[in-house]
This record gives sequence, C-alpha cells and structure tokens, in this order.
Amino acid sequence: MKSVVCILSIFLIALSCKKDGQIEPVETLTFVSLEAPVNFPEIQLNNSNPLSIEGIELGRKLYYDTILSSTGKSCSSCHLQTSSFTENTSNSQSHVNLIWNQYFLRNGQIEGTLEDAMLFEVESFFHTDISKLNQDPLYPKLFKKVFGKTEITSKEVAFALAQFLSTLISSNSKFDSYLKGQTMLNSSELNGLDIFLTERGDCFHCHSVGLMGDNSFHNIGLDLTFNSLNWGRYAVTMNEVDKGKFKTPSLRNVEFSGPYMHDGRFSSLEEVVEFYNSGVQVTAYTDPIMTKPGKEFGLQLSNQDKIDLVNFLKALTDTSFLNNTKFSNP
Amino acid sequence: MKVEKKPSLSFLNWGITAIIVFSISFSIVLSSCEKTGVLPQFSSLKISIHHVIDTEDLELFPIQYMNESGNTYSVTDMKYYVSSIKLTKQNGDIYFDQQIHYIDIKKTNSLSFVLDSIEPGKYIKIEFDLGIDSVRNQTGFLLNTVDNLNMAWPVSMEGGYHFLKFEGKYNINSVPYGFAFHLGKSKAIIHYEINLNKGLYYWNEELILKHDLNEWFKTPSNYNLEVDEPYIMNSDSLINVIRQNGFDAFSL
Repeated sequence: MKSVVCILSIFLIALSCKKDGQIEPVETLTFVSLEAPVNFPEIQLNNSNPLSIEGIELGRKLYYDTILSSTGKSCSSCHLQTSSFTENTSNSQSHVNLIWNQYFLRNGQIEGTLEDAMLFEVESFFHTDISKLNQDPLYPKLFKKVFGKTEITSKEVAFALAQFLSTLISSNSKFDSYLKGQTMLNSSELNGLDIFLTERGDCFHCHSVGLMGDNSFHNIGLDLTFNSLNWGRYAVTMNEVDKGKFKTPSLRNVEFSGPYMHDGRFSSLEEVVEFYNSGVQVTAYTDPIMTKPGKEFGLQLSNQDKIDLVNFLKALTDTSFLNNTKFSNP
Repeated sequence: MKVEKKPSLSFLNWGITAIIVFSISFSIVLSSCEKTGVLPQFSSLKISIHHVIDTEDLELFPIQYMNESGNTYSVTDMKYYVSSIKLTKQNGDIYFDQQIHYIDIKKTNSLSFVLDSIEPGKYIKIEFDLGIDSVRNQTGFLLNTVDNLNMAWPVSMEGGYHFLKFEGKYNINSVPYGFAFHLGKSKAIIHYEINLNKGLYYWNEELILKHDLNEWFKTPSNYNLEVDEPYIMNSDSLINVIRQNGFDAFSL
C-alpha cells in the first residue's frame, strides 16, 4: 500500500513463556509506520496499538467478514471500495483518511481515536458475538500473533479494524498531482478551483486543502426547522448553537461517495452545487460563511461556473485508492 | 490469636508534637528564603486570554451583542495566532518567545499558554503580534496540524495563514446575516505594546490578557455591518480598516 511508505523493518520477536519457564520465540511482527502525504496534517499514531503488517491484514479480514454481525453483514456491506468505502442505499460515511479524525459519525457522537470509533462499531453497532471469533478455527491464532493474547475481546477486534482503517489513505488525485506540479488542470477545472479557493464559492473555509474537510461541524443551511432527525451536533452537545450542524465530510473521491448530505437528499454533485448556488436556507443557526449579503440564498454562479466546480470536484478522485487491491476483500 | 497493640496516648502526643515542630521549621525556612531574596533561577508566566464583549464574558449564542454602529450581533468563531511575544524588564533586558500560539475560543486548552525560562525581575512591557511575521507567514511553514491547515490562506491570494478569523451573525429586521472578518497577508499583522507593572519571580506567575471583540467594530472606524461589507477577505482596504480597529482589542 502506498500510504505505508516507511516500513521500519523492525522485526519483533515476541517471546512467550512455556509452562516450564522456557522462553521461545513464537511470533514475528513486522511493524510499519504511516507518513502524512504532502498538505496533510501530521499523523498521530496510537502508541497502544502499534501498526503491523499482520495487524492490518487481520483488520482487513475482519472488515470483509460477516462474522462481526448477526445479520449477515460486514463493514464492507455498507462501505464499498469502489464507492470510496461508502454505499448508496445506506448513505454510509466514507471510510477515507479516518486516521486524522477526532470525531466520528455525522454528529461527532464518538470522540477520540479510530480505536474508540471501532469499539463503538463492534459493541454498539454490530453487537458482535465475540465467542464466535474465539471458537473460529483461524481467528484465535491470528489475534494471538498480533496481540499476544489467547482470548479475543472486543478491544482486540476494534484495534485490528483500526489498524486496517488507518491505512485507507487517499492522497493521489489529479488535484494532488497539480499541487505537486506534476499535472495541469484543464481550464474548466482551474475555474472550478478558483471558485473553490476564493470567496466566489468559499468552499475552502470548511474543506481545507489536504484533507478536504476541517474536522469540524457546520450548519450549511439545509433546513429551516429542526427536529431529532436533523439536530446534528446538537444531539450530542445540547448546545443551542449546534443545531443543524453536521461534520464536514471529506471531498476526497466525492464523485463516487453519493448520495450527499446527512440524509442523502442529493443524488448528484450537480444537485449539491445547485443547493449551494440557490438553495441555502437562512436561519439563526446557518453558518455565517453561508449567508453573505447578495449571496444569502446561494452563490449565484453561472451555469458554466457550476459545471466547472463539479469538474474540479471530480479532480479529487483518486483511482489508485479506489482500485488498490491491498484494500479489497482478501 | 494475634493481638494488635493500640498506640499509646504518649506516642500519639509525640507524633503530633513532631509534626508541629516540622511544620513550623519548614515555614521558617520558606519565609527566610523570600526575605533573603533566594529566588528560582527562572520564572514562568502563564498567559491567559479572556474574551469579552465590553465588560461581559463572551457567550456564543444567541445574537445579543451591540456594536458601536448599533448592529446586534453574535460571535460564532474567533480563531487567531499570537506570536513574537516580547517582555521588557525594568533594566531593559528583553525576553523573547519564538513560538506561534494558536487561539480558538472553542478550544479551552488553547486559551492559555506558558512562557518559561524567564529571568526573574520586574517587567514593564509586553509586546506581541496578532498574526505571523512575513518570514514565517509562508504556506507550509507551520507544522501541518488540522488547525493550521484550516487557517491556511489560499496560495492564489498570496498564501500564508489567516491571522484571524472572527465570524458571527447579525440581524437586519430580525433576519440573521453572517459576517466574517478574516485577516491575512503579511502586511495585516498587528503589533501590540502594553505597559506592565509585574514582578516575575517564581514559577507559575499569571497574566490575564483581555480581548474585547467589540473593539474590532470601532476606533478609528465605526464598522456598520448593514452598510459596510461584512466579508472582508477579498479586499485589502477592508482588511486594513478592521486591522486598524483591532489595535486596541487587547488590554490587561
């Protein structure tokens, strides 16, 4: 995998004690490190869950395994690689560049590390029957190798999933190549970029270059009224100012991660751009960036501008990520 | 059967006496240090920034404040960099802090920071910049943290970083509109000089800087959100108007 650019090649010989006290090497782990791509924030790895090739592979196997649920579903059922690890029907969130996330789920209900988020998924979403893993002919050996424990618990499952998810890094789009001076954007994409990066569109204030998100929450003016279905961040903080705020999604591979918005109300990028252009609802909760005088109800872009902005968004597609066999079903 | 022996009364008395004697001796040692001027080699200063609207503590909701032009407004975001802090001692010696501090009213732990290795003495002036000097205000200069990347000023607009993001809402006939005072580009840096009368002799000394957000709307120019452009990032002249207003935003 490209993101794992720095294999430390540190081979740890895990030692275990036999009952008679004799020590023998039983496992060998290959630890790896992740390096932040250009324009991305530094990576804060979780020291309590050191990345290893074996741990990542175990997480990958679990990601695609229905053993985690009692409904015949796996993580991959709602997170398809070809859709940037989202899925149309469930409107699931993209599993891309999560290693930089501090908040998980659209309202940031889970705050902390990727391991914290995965523990929530195992225990509260899937309600995983851990005994099935412990009774499986293969998993106990794999977990023993990675975590050195004979009994699997929710924690180890979450840690393995977190290891795999932390490697799902997308940073190789046409726009990235453009920033490195390796590729030119065409004139339409360049105009779209100008809209994106200036107050013509003001996209960059929430979709910062690099992650193409900001790890924060905004009310972008989708609705005039609020109830439990669109409270967003307010459901977590119960702070009035947070009504209607949802986590800024990354725009990486946005071409393939529809439908869009927390409730999937828009099925195409054209619809999304048209919303920003003419459909913003102004309430006391709408983000100030969305309500400029003269642009209270949208950006008022020309038809060509709208086409160009969509074309720029498509330049954020990273086909090497979408087709990387190291992320696919093992 | 094991019998526990209770401590005798005389043993308890002895123990209490010993504690009292030790405490008195320790206090004497401490007070003698002060009187004889035995001081730590270095002092440290915790600077805390207290955000207010006039005399009130800042609250983020609802629209409740009034500026000099009579606009009622709220604050939704206030993020900025404080850098190049300089403390001048009575004898003219200068302490200089190279760091660039990110302040975000929504992140409590960003609202204070500590300067250490300060030579003890009486200090008569604090200087600092809101923003980043031109040498360091270059795209990619700061460590790529999420906060720093979110503060990036677009390369197509000279690059570097936002020095300040002050955002909020204001009402016109009960209809909420937004404003965003974003300062950036190297010439928008604001240098502050504030007189001090503060002895820094020990660790954990504290200085509270008051940041009055209402000051950004007045002096020298009354900024009327209903009349003047509430989004300034695209205009160097408007950035300069808000910059000039910001010169008295900080005080002790």
